Amino acid sequence: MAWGVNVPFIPLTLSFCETGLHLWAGVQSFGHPDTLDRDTFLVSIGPMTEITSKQLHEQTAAMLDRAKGGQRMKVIRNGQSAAWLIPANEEIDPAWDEIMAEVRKARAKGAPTRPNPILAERKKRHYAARVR
Amino acid sequence: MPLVYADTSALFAYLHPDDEFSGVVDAAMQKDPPDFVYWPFLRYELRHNLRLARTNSHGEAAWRALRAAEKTAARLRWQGELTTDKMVDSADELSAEKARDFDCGSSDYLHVSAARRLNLLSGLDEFWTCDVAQAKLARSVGLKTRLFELKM
Repeated sequence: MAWGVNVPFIPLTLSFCETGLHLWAGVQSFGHPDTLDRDTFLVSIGPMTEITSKQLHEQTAAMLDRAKGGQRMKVIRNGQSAAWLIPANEEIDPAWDEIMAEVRKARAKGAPTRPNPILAERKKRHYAARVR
Repeated sequence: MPLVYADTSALFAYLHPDDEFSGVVDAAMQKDPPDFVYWPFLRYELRHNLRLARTNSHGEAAWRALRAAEKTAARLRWQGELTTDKMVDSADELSAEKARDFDCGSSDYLHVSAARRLNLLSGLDEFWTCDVAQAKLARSVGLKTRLFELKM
């Protein structure tokens, strides 16, 4: 059984499944839905279900149908998370090295460095406080 | 994987390739990759400074890396317990206790009080900063602190 609750700005779904209540945040960022500027995006929250490896083995076709229908499932084996079964049209999170690749490439060029702006701002504030 | 509170100076340096501390922070990150604490004030301060730095291709690369990291939450661990209202109160208490002894700004007290709270609640492996004064404050509340310094 699954039912949904809509909250302003955050599409939220609570799902009851075989193993109880789950609230799954697609990017593990329930606390920071982004609605701030044009570069930001809304975090979507969808249903997550836990299934056992035995269920996957015995009901493979049904589980694949559920995944095709948009459901993400965590496969539990021997009581521990073993794998994810996710819809094929969903993006898989990029690896950290992939996220940082462009930054590392730029760093490797050895461009002239510039002062850290956070420290610069703090120094300015200290100076202003002393002047007063 | 260790959990580190990297203040904005350290996270900015890690993400922006042109920052003066970029090399040393990246080296620490490569050696023992941690997860980073992430909460509303840190997010705001980091985003604000990266937005200001979007003046060239390297600034854009830093911004894109942050947005991708936020989207996946691969390393930025959102801390629901660290809410701004609680942390402002906590920073005020820390300031009342330490302001006469440590020449730090108001945001420094916010970072250190947030790290201290998290350390008490669930444990924190290290506090990272590029700010000498903030490092002293962090050590004074018992946080294992790593100060990044420029190689001369």
